[in-house]
Amino acid sequence: MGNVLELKGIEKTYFGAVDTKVLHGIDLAFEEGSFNSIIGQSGSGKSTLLNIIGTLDKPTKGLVFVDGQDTSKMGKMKLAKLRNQTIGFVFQFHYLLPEFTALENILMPIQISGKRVDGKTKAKAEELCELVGISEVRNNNSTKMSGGQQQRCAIARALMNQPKIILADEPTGNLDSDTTAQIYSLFRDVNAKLKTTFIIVTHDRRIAEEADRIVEIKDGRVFLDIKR
Amino acid sequence: MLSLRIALRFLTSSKVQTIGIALGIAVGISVQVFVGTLIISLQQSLVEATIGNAPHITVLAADDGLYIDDWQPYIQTIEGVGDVRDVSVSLSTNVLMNTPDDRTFPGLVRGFEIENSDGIYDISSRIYEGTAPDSNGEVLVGLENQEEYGLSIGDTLEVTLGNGSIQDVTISGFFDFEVATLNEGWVISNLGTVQSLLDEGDVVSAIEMQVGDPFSADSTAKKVEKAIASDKVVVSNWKTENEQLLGALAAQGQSSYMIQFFVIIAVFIAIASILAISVTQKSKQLGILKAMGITDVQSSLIFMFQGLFLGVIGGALGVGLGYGLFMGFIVGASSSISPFVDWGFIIGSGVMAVAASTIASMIPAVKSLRLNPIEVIRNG
Repeated sequence: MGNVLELKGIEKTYFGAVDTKVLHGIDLAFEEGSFNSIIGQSGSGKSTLLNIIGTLDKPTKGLVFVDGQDTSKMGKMKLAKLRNQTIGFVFQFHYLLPEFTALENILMPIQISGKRVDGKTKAKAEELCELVGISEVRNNNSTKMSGGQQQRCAIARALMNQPKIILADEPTGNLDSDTTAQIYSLFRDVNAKLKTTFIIVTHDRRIAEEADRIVEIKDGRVFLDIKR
Repeated sequence: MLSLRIALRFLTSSKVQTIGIALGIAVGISVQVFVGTLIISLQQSLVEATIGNAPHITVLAADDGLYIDDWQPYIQTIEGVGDVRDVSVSLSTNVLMNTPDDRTFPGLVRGFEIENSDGIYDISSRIYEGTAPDSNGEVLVGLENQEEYGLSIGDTLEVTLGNGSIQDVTISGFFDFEVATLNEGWVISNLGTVQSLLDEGDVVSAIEMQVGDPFSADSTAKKVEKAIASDKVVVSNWKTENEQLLGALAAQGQSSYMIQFFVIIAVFIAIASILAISVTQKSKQLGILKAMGITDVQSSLIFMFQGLFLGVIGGALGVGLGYGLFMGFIVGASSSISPFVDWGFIIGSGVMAVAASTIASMIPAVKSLRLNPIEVIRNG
């Protein structure tokens, strides 16, 4: 399969009283449908890298190609559209909108894309609820769900637009070990069924070892890149 | 529209905050409506009291002491001028009135075509006893003079004119203009009676009229002057004779504008600051929405819509509250102010609330533009 994501010479410097360079010329490519983990210690630059991959942050130097498109040439509007259509985000905190129900949160990416919520999209959202195991609480406000349910809901939301890439930053960082195992099993299922590319940032080496590829970032550089 | 739905959901999910903001706007707008309407009513009542029963424009003979003869053609000409209404004539002269018990009081005998003059002076409804003079030689006397000199209907008064001639008139009734100086100073009769007293023929001393918009009386007076186009007469209007009153009205109007200006500023600041806090409160939601692909314009619109809705709700409440307060004040105070409700002003106040809160919401809207999702995600 071809690469869905390519990073070429990515550098990132935070300018301030003291300039801090956090990424030093990262070159990486991720195959479509692959299941990847990025590991590294706190401050290694792994989350910065994920934000750059997700076009939430811009590299100081280097190019990011998402689905073959050079993101450096895109304006804010195009990047927003790219994120909505191609990338799904799962963060350590679920960031569900507390004013909306679980189902409404899951439907949000569809509405952002400007499409109407019809029976078909609703059925798809229901299907995703089923897939992540939150059907019973789908009409609850996000504040009336357990931590695990909230994170599952966030995963269903990330999947709603059938993105090619799911970027997950410490997605189980706030969950107990049983729920963590369930979430990773869910990621694996989705990866197998929908051929969605997963890039998961974690500091937990045991979790990372479940992935097909482990990229270790150390001091802003690729220290290890192991494919199984 | 997504921004609209999110805005509504943000507002309905924080009901207490939403009600608080809307009430804040409502109180501000109600003060504006109450104060504004009260001042407008005060001005109208003052103007009504001053010129409601007085001519707005008067045509007089160019030379003092002379009368206007050949006045009928002028009437026709004047009636053709737009905005002019209730054109009538009067003939007045200063006299001394000698009562049956041989007491004397000075008076201005005013001769009217009573039916026509009613449009200005409303004489018929001011007669509280007796009838209007319907034949020559009859007069109406004011309340204060009736009480002071113990006069009755049918009493004969001896009228001494400036040239020394003396004639008798009969009292046909009594009037009360609710203004002591008029009641004491005027003796009212029909035009024919005063013409025969003066013995100057078919003359009048003034052609009087009211206009639709009293505040345009000066420009209408110019039109009347132009239409008449005669150097035998001069045209005056109430505004030139009441400059002090006009100055007071203008000052009152300016104070009203000042109050309204500061109320709107307060509404503006309140909305801008509360919604700006709301951007911080909702920064997580905005951050994730931006990460999911919401555009800057859409995120700004969320706050613009909130401002719009708060303005509509607060404005409507404020207009209702302000109007209610005003009517309550008028009824409760049982004041002599007649309520004058300027719907243009009231609706304008509501619209201003909507405009101010929508414009104020641009400040948080711009703040939301600058919100970087990474900051939110990084800080959890």
